[in-house]
Amino acid sequence: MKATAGLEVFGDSDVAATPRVAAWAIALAMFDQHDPAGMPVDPLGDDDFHELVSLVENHRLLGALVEAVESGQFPVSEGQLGRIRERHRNWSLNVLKVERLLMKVTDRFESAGIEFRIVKGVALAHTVYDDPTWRVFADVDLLIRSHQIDRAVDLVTNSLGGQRTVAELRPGFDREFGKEAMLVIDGMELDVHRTLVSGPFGLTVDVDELMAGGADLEVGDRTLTTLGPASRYLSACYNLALGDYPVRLGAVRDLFLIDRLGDVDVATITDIARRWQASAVVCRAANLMSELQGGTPSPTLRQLAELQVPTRERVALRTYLTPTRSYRRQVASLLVIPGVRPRLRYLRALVTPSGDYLASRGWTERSHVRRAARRLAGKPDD
Amino acid sequence: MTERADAPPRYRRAPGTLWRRIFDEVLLFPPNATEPLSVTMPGALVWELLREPISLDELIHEVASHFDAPMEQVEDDLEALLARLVSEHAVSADTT
Repeated sequence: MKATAGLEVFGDSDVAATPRVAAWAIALAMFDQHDPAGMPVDPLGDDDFHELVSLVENHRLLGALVEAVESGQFPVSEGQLGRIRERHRNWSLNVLKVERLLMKVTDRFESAGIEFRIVKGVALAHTVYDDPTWRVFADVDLLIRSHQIDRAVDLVTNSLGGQRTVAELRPGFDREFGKEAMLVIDGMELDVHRTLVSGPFGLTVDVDELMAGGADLEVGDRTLTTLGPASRYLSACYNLALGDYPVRLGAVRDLFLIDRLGDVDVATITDIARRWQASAVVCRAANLMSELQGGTPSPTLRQLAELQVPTRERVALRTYLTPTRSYRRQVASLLVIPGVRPRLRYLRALVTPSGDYLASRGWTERSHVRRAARRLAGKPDD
Repeated sequence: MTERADAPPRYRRAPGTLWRRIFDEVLLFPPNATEPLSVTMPGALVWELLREPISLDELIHEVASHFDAPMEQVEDDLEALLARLVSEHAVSADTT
């Protein structure tokens, strides 16, 4: 593991992670039963073990630890096995409730003619992981076409008792520029996505192409639809490269397993990335994987790590890689929004958000402007 | 009297039951349940066997073989377990 990768993976919440525990967590993210590497020979000491469990939970990687233990590649004491079982059980109880919510929501969407693709946790657990029990998740993620997002949100709020966690920046913003609407139903989170990420890289995704085709997904007795292979690969790259900063090891494991399926070719991914102005995204994801794998990535990732990245994309990428990224990347979105009027609509929403939005954030107009100015200047909040 | 009336029930997972395996335990969440229910050892094995329709006798044989245990020892446990899973609508019993 290179130090640069480590710095991008472990953030403030993981600051207590000792290097050896961090190294085991990274090894778990790339764990392969047939070629285990970096696993301990004997059970860890209890302090290291508890630190590791906290770390893998924080990184949504508990399932990988379970897989490694079940396969006999990660030795644990009886007490440690009990601890893993208890944590895995807690997560799994929630996972089942999330899947129940998925059934409810998708049933309504299908009846209302709202097209969707299930993405991220639920979809990957059932299509990429050898056993769905080895991928834990905490929310439902659905990708919806822009023109149906308002209707989808209305349906969830009016007929399923969902509530938005944050109001729309301005009416119509989500449909035109937003990444997602986050809703809570019965204490569980439902993310209705319009694109893969917020900011400039989210605005250049061709969502029609992203949703084209699709693949079957079996949950319970239902056959639902998730992304097709190329879209799934790209989605995992976006999630790893831009989803969290510092990155989550769960996103590393997702891309590791998707890449291992070997069901996409480099030319297809490269071509789509170029058209979506996302070469920087794919290149960053591939480089992160390469660094974390100690410079021995798959042939696909090795080629993607060498993509030529236009300067404009490099500039946009930098806005995602700072603690104050949310404001900078919102401003950077102006670089890719086509036309004067849409840019003005976008700018107006940023500068003068609706009263509902400010209230849902607990802000006033003045505190919003002051906060935005400080963040754009790279200063911490008051 | 027809053969159909005498046929022993064959058990299988009820459609729509969501589930997760936790090592040798399995958590089941039937469609109308308010909370998932837990089936401890040999829950994971039994649930795996219930993927396809199976009679109680076949189930007893499989579980006893797997754990190298006397059939009489597992019979009562499995009978009670199946009765519970059927009453919770996690498993369906088909007599046709």
